Amino acid sequence: MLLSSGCTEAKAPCAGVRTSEVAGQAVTGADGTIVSAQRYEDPLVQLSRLDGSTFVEILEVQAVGDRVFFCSGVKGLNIVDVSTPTSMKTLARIGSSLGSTRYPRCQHLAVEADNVFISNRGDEIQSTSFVAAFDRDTGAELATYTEPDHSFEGLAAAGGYVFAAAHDQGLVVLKVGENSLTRVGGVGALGNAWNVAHDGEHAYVADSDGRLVIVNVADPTKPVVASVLEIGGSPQSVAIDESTQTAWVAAGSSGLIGVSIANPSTPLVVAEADTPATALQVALDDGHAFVADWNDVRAYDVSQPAAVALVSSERIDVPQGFSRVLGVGAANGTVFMGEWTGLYAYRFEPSVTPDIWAAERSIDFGAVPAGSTATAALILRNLGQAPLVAWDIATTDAAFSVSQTQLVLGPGEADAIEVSFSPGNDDEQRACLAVRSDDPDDQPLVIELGGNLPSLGVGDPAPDVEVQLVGGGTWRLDEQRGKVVVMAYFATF
Amino acid sequence: MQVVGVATGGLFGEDTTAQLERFVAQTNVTFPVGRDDAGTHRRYPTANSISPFPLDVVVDKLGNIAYFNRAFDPESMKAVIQSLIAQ
Repeated sequence: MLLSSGCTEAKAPCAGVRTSEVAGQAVTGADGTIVSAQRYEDPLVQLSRLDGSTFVEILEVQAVGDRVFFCSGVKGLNIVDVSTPTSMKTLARIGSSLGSTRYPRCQHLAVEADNVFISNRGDEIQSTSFVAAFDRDTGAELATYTEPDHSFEGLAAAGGYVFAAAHDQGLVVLKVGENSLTRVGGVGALGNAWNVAHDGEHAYVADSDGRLVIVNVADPTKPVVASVLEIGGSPQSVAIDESTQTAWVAAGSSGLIGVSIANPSTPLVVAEADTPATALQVALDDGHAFVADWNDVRAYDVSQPAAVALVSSERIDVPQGFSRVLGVGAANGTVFMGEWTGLYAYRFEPSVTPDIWAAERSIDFGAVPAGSTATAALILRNLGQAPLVAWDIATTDAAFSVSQTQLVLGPGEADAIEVSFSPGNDDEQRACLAVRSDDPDDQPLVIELGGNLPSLGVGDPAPDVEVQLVGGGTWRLDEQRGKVVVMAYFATF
Repeated sequence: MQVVGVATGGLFGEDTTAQLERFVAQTNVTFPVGRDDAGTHRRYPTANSISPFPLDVVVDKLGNIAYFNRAFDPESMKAVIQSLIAQ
């Protein structure tokens, strides 16, 4: 549950606890043993944020050598010099030729040699779906390709060809000329082709209907389906690790899935790592996979695919309170996170640490009369590989309290602490719950608390909702009494 | 349980039916999707965020708000839904 404008307000009362010492803190574990908090090095350390980015809606990121390319939903294709990751510099922002001068949209990209290719699926900003080629150094547009009834999504580029996922139209193969993109082949009926990777003689298509489709493109003019593997979830992105012959799939609600492609005709699922939110993009670097998982980025050791292990997760601390990471790239030990409002660079040095995770970052107690008490359970989990010691769990306002002030969680363990709200009056109240632990980067973990808030809250009657359905008809919330209803509000921009 | 996708006006004006139809076709959404022209999402608290979406709301069998969140958190939402269904 998220509270009104609480993020920035709630952080202020917690600011003072950010400098607390870690080493030497002793906590009594559940079995009575004394456990000391340790000082760990953070595997993911923020190096810089790209200047000038405020609202960029980064959708996809590719790191290639000392360049990062990212697609923005409103500011086109961006090319960034990351030769010094502590001081990233924008080299080019290509947008004026992308259809909408106000909000040029780039959804997916691929890089090969001197070219960078982008796609747009076609939406309310840019009604036409296209694939476009640019010079990666000058940003000059070289060619554009459109096709009636085709909506283009993810891209791969190799050997002078572009492989474009095209939803129910399958995989489209384009030949790259000096100033042209020409269709030379294609294969349909691949489900809902959402993204694609290329390696050797094969294209690996993420079918968002829950499949990985491997297409033999040894002859790009005659692509042939080699295999179709059910993997579940909603595959969004694929990356190929040649060293282990594994295709790593960011599979939406099914997290990160590893598929052995040693024999492309008979692929096998060899690894599954569930993620808390939805896995949108995966990038590989030096035996590690980095997953953009909507709320955070997760780093996995994938050097042994059958023993995939979470190394770290990073939730970017942003001014607006909660961050959204939809894209990620990695190269040379640096991870580039495409956050909703900007590009961030992190140094990655794998180590064994605790990693605290909370099921919720805010708790709304709803309307609670003066003199009464409402309670909520807050689940805390240690996602790391070292024991987690939390020695100071406290709120910033006496109206809010917690059932325990210390906690020890082994790797993978979870526990719930009870949070209570006992107001002395009926006024709106906000506070902050801080959990100080030996997690090296969530220091402290901050949970927003609120009660008796003026806008709609938990426990209030839901307002009348009337929905004009696609396909005709009207849906009304008041006609659903007796059912549990989930309303997912969204916008198609 | 009933799930419904509620489209709202984005940055660029109200979502048109044609745009929604294309969205549904591209994503293969399996639950009902439609437009809320009354903008009921504005009645929920808005964090200090650039975008108010997504907004997920869970309503219990009596019509009361049991959960809402502008940050995507399927694990929490699932726990609430399972608890409500069991009631």
